[in-house]
Amino acid sequence: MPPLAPRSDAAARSVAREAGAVFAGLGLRRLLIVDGAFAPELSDLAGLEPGVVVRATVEALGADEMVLPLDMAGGDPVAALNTALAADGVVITVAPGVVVERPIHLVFVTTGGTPAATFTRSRLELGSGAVLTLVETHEGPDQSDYQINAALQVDVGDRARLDHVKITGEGAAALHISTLEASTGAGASYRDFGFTIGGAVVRNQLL
Amino acid sequence: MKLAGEGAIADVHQGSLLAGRQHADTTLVVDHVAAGSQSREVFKAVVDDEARAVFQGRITVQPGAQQTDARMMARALLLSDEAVANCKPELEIFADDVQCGHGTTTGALDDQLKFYLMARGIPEKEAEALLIQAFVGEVIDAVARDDLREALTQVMLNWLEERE
Repeated sequence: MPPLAPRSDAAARSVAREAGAVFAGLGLRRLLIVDGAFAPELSDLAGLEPGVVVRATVEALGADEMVLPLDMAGGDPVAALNTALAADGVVITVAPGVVVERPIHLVFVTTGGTPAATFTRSRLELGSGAVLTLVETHEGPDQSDYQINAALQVDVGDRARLDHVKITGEGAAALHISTLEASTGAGASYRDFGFTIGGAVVRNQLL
Repeated sequence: MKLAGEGAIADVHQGSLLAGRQHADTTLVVDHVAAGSQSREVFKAVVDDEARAVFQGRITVQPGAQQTDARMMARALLLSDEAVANCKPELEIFADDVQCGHGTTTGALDDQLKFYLMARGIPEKEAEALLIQAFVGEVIDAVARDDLREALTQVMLNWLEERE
């Protein structure tokens, strides 16, 4: 199945390589989502820990999996719009009992000066007893009034532990709306940290 | 955010550093569904110039979620006369054996603290930066990993430097 989101061109790729610099040098596993499309060729997918699976959302959709449930966040309008228009994203699964030492860094980057609306849908499933640190950064150019609608669904299994850190560092004229829908199992631990520093209009929903 | 399993723990810390005409809204719903779950929510906003920070947070305790322990706090620090913060924490409780609390504060930098630092030779902007750092530092401290915490502290310091 061909990807729904456009592939990034050479200029976009060079901007993307520099993105997420805030956490450069920390050895995080970088997964790049460039202009709304997962870019495996720019992502660090080598030596994935056993039990960790990373796929593009379009790939999971192609396998007829329910990665885009219609009732995300109880029919919240922003999430519904995301469901209607999401083109790609990342689907990560961690098998039960797997402790992932190296944090995963989702680098969402908007390139180029042409204003565009980008919709991404991502999903993280942590099996029972699994442990993961997930870092998310969002950034783009200051000169462009682009729009981002990013949705992430998180399922933390029984006794699993997730540490989630997100920086909303969009360009000065950008609009950023995000929805995080999380569910935790028995004895699970979910720690979330969010930092909003960029963007003209930002709404972060944790539902 | 649904605490669907018994004894689950959720810890949500959010920080916003806003300037110019930025508008940042955080909407948070923590739904305690199963018994014995615990949640902590701390939201801190530093608002300069004509920026606006909005926080609307709700803790819901469902009928079966006895022994829930939940607390929510929203604090805003206004650095200019035109800065605005709207904070609305809510509790919705349908169980009778729970511990829940919520609160919100909005204010400017403490003049006495600033004077204390300036009286020791620290320039005004630096004194303000130290106080802002202490205010935001509390949410950054919630990050477990040292390396991420240091990187986030640097993000805050860069913001303070740009402000000067």
